Amino acid sequence: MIDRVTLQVIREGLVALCRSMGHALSRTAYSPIFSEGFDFSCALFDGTGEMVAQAEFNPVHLGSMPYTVEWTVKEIGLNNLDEGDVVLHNDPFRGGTHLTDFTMMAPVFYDGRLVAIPAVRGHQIDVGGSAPGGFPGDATEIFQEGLIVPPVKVYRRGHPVQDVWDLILANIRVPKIVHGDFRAMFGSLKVAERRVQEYCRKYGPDTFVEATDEIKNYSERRMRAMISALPDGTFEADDVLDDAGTTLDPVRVTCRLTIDGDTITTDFTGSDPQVQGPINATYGVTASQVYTVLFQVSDPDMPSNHGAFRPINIVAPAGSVVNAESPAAVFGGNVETSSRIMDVLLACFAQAVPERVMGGCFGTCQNFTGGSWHPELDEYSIIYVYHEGGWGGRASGDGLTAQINPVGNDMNQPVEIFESRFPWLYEEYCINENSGGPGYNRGGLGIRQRMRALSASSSINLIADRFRHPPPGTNGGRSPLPSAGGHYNDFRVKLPDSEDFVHATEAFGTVSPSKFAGQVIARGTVVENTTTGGGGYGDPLDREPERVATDVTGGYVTAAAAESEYGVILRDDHSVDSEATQATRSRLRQKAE
Amino acid sequence: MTPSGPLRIGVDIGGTFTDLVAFDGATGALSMSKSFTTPSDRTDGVLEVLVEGGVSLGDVSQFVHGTTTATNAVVERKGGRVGLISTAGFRDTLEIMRINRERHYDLQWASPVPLVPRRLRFEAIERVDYRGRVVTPLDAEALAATVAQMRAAGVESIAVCFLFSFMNPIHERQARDVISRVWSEVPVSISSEILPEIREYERSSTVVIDAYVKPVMGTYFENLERRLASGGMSCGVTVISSGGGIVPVAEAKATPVRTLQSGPAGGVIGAAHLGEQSGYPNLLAIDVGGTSFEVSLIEGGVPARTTEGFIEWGIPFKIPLVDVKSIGAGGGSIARIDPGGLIQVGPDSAGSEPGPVCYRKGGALPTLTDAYVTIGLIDPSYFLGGRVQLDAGAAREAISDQIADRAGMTVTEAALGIVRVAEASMVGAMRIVSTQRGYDPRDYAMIAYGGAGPVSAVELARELGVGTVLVPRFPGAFCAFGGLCADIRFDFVRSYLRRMEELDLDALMTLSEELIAEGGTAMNRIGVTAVPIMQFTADVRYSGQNFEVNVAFPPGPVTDATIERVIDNFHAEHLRLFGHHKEDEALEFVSLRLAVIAATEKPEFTPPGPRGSPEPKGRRTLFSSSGQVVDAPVFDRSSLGVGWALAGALIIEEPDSTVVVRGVNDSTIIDDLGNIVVSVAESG
Repeated sequence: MIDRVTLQVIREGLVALCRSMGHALSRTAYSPIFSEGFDFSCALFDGTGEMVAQAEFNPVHLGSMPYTVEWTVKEIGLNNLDEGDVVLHNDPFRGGTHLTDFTMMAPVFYDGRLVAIPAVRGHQIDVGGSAPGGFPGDATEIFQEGLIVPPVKVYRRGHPVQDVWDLILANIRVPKIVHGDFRAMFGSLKVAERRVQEYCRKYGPDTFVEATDEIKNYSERRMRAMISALPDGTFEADDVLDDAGTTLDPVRVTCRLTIDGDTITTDFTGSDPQVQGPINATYGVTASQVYTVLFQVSDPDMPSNHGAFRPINIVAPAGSVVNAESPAAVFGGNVETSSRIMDVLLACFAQAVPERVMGGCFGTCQNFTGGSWHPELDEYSIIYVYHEGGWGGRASGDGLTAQINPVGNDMNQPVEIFESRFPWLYEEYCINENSGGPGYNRGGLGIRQRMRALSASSSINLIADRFRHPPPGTNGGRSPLPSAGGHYNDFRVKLPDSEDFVHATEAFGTVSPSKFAGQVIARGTVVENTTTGGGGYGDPLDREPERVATDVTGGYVTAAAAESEYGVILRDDHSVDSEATQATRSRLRQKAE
Repeated sequence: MTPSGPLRIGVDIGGTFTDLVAFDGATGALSMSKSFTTPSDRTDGVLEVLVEGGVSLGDVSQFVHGTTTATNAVVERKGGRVGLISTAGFRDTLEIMRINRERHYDLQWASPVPLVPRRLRFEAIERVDYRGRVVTPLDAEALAATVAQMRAAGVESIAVCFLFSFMNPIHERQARDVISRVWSEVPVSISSEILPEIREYERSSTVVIDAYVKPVMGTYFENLERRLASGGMSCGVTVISSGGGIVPVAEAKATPVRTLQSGPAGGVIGAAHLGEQSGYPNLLAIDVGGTSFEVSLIEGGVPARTTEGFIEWGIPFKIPLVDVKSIGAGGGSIARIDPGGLIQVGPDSAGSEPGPVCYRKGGALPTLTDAYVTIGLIDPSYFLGGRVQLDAGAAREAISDQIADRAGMTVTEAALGIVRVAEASMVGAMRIVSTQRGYDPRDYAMIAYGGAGPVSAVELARELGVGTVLVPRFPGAFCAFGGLCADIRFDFVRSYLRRMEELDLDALMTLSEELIAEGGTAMNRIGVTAVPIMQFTADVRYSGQNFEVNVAFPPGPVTDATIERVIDNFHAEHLRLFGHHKEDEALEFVSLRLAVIAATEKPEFTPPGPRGSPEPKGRRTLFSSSGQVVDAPVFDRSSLGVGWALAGALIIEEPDSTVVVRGVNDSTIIDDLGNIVVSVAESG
């Protein structure tokens, strides 16, 4: 049997291998989504298609990648995988997330034996369909969302299958960029292949395979130990998405969490049936959130692999908004519904282990995409902008300001990179003042971006949420106040002939202010994306007045909010008027009772 | 700058020790001394180590200094009060950062505190677009009022970073003029001078760091100069730059961001020099201290370079740098049994305070150093030449309680396990570094220094397939030695973003002439009269990519042939780095770089002569890398002369480090320069 020091040596080596894959990928990619944004994931699966190691790039891919590979193995069959084959796949209903997320995988053989399957998943900048850059906010079925690629071989025994490549790239608006990014993904698989073969040479293929098995058992033990340390019990929470884009009705997500010894059950029964709009989550998306939250509250350093998932039972009714079936539209499920699933899970854990969670997050990825002709570079270009916001306050301090949604861990695209590539001019990219939810530990703040269209005509799309339902506070903390435009997260435009920013409902007559597609704007239109902050943690009336004063001086909280939300009265020089503060606070406390 | 007298001094201030290496030009003798670093005023430690080394300041002809003072000022947030001026609408760039986080799943993680608080971040009405065209002219009047506000707010140093200033620096230059008109005394750092490169967050961070450390570094250097001069030193102080050259202290004061990582850069320069002399032009250099593990690559005698470093997670500085990758492991890395029952080492470290258990400074958790002591790789009574007594019993007990008992292993098994796991994670991290740079470790020899480097080096080499390990003389003070090998060097860069087929050769020629003029001016300014070496390189990428590859750019008039060479160089380098390239793909020219170098005279030291076959000073039981128990001889390095050779496992001790050879099939010699050279067998 393999000794545990050797096991640890191989285990850490395989995680390092996955990181190497990611570094190779980011350095050769074409679209800023990979190279600047790191919107991809790298993992190693064993010869049976179960995940054994994963590098920390993007959490939303965490739980869904295993299903993609599993499905591929089931559909193609292990016996039909040959040396030099590469399989490509983006079908959300076969373990995927949304159509722009492509998974590429390749079997690795040693002495003719299939020993591992490295896989890489990355967000491609375009996938055809009705919206340039994806995210059609008005889609009612997946066929409008773009090209569906079931598991197909794009390399066969080392040779590219040109017919398939031609077919895929013919459906893409920017084939050169997407092809370049596919090449970068392919390169990262080659990095993995070399290292796996070196391991087999060094330790022998039997020991290598034994190690990959034991690594899963190890993670399972570790996960069970962590779950055992959580208090037993059943906890429930629910929340809503603003709307499905095609109607204005809120969409409900509910969860019942049961912690029982060393196992966990998350039951989403009671969540709304799947909807005629692009916010349905596939099972892989829902599973990703469950695993992510469990890592967050139990062990942030948990080695992610199949074994860690074994003690976790997920009940997600088929045909619901958390486990949609074809032909549901799913683009926003991976970015918006996923956020709400995380919110309800964290709200459940807030009842079990409040010191380990945080107040609600801004709760959207606010994906803004569009296509336009670049008048100077003389080429068609596609933008994809996701927006960061504020995270909830937590026991250890104020919430994080301007952070990517916790379902991901991407970087932003620098303004200078963006403008060098796309026909837009940023007018502003700043913190959304006063947007943190009041609390003893305040929620972090959101941001505001304004950008002016420079192309004669741009077609734009949006999928966002939490415009009308704010993130909750925790432990007596409160929700943020609305942003300047009246919503929490918000989207507005200023048309060229107008002085005012107005919502999409008014400017374009869309049903939803947060989800739409294919709206055409003229040169000079200014687009404004605003995100809200996180919910507060603990009673804001307990926050030390000096911390409130510092917030006012820094412009994070207005003097008016200091008074109305925190009961803190400041003099003109921002020093605390202690007497007036005491009086205001006791008045507010009485009012609350 | 040319050494006039006989004594050349290198002084490096590290986290725990201040090291000195002295080279006596008259005798060829090289000597080393050490004293503790004095964080309250680091010049105290410098003066102390000079006394320790018996240096008479009047004899010193060259004083080369490497220091972490700038880095420490940032890490400890003890820099000056900086006011930042950004383009209107963008003052929060510094706080928004790149919106990601260091730890994926940790909901309690705190992001780094910005070096400039929001109330001291100001805006200027101005805008330049991506092609360098002025969209909104700078409002000088409003800016003057802003500067008055900054002054009233107690600002000590101003940083300016405008969007696209790397394409057109006019507004930043105008802003500097406005500032000096209304407030002439305040130091100003402008981004287009320090880092004329794309990416506003990284550029802001860099210029802010410069402004932030400027007051501190000014005081530090002035204090040091004064104390050395009053001690009788007549030559000026020179400082190792991040780029691995030396510059007069005045340059370091003017742009202190260029001295970040100056110590480690010195080590790499020394390694490159020694490697060339010993016949190993291709080297993997590892520098392992108590709290850090740093890796660099040297190819053909030239250290690999980069343009991005991090002071801490999320706080980047982008300047020309010797590429020193820190991989967060060291003697202080803490070992534990994780909840799944496996030994885990790091990533957290006991540092030097409280340090490993065996230091007896309050550390309770076993570390890698404790494991080394427990299995006899380090002699507890000869640590730092006996200056510090280690408590082997306490180390053993901690490993027994925390690891062995919990995992059902013997103490020895546990300690061996800690060492193996730690070495494996070092190897994993080194492989990531190698992937990033696209090289194969098997083509390199390894040079190991830093107090802890030579303990594990031979095993790391074996794991990576490296055949030779070199341990230089005075490995524990090697960074101080490296400074004596450094050339005078300045690096310049100009952005010139164009598709390759749209290049304007005349414009490129003008750019290269400007860079040459700038280099000449810099050399004149510091009194170098000899004709310097000029090395041009270009940053190139596939059109549409976001990261560049730096390739050689042929000197002389810029012609079509020049560009063809650059294109060829790019394809070859891309293939080497990433394993693939595409010749029919369009390319983009991004920037032109120039390194201006004036060579200095290198120390030609006299190695210790042949000493015959000395007796070992003792023997110790070692576990060979293949698991055998070996009775290994222990030698004192000072007893070994040039030409000494021995096969098998052994230990060589010296006051500042211990060399451990664990392979029974390895062989060790002292080469003509006094280096220990280990031939590493494939299986130990």
